[in-house]
Amino acid sequence: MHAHRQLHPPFWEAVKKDTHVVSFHRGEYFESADASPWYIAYRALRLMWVSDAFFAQVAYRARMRLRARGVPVIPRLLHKLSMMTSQVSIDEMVVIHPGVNIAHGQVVIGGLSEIKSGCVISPWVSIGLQAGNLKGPTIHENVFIGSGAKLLGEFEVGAGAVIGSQAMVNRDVPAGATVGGIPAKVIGNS
Amino acid sequence: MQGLFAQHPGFRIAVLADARVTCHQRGERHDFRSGRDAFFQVLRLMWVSDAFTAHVAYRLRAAMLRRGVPVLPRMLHRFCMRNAQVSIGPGVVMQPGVYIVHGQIVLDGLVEIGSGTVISPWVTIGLRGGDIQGPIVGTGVNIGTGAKIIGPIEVGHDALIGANAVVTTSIPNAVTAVGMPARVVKSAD
Repeated sequence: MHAHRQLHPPFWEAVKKDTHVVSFHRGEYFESADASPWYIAYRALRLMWVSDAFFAQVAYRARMRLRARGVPVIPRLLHKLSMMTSQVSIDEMVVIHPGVNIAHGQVVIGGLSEIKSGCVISPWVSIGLQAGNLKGPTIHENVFIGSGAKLLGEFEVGAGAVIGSQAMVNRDVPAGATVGGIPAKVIGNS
Repeated sequence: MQGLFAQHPGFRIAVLADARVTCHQRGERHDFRSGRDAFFQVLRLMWVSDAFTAHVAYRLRAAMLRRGVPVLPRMLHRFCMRNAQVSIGPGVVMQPGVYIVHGQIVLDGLVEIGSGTVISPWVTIGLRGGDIQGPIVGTGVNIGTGAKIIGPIEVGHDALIGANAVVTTSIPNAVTAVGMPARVVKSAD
């Protein structure tokens, strides 16, 4: 359990990349690679004010780093804070790589799941377990998860896939495919 | 309304049963050794489980409604909504021993929830236009994430409602129902 916690990205690197990706999806220009730390901090603070879920996302990043360092009590309070501000509830076992966009909040992520950079998570999404298996899905780079989609069980979502609104995904999704329905089927390709 | 409120379970019985079911579903020890042990287990769950604080607040509110206490129930309701986005209407009778996984649920209307039921996030159990009678959910039902159960219907004991299912017709005992609108995909035997 403790070794697993070390998989969480460092706080600053995660917030920097998150700011970059969220700005990009909001249609705002921001190049984090050659920006000064002060400018990045300003942009992150600005997003915490104007974007619905960015405050909760930063609280989550802080929580995971404090957890990795073995700080007591505060991580749990940060968790409650992200639930209360944007209804973002992410379990400790989940690994979210730097650079993910939680569009408005309202997200529940649980189990041993992994989400890679560039993913967009819309509202009312659940990512998690099916009964009797602790492993959740692995979601590769640049996947778009539509509003209300549910991804449950142990499987992989290929890079660049699009998960349609209200889809119920319980098996592998090929890279670049668009899936939809209950249970989700491939309905297109990009 | 007071006759309806009389159906709410007592606070102590309800919270004890809820704690047992929650511990059991979380894969933790669920046989409490003493009243003292149970008390500390409840406190522990309120700290570690996403929705248990809101759950206890709801139970307190239901017990207050039963005794006709004014104002406070509404404030506890607001607290549940803030704390874990749990919004349960006053007409909902929840039997002791229900597990709310993470919160984020809306239950309203004349609804009955049996004991042993598991309610996942983004679940709505409620009404269909023009009828205040909502669903009657049996015991041991497992409701998947994002499922909607609406209208004057009955969900049988030990049924399994799949993720994102929209249930608008009665479901028999011990079956699996999925899809939109939900249909039975796996029967009892």
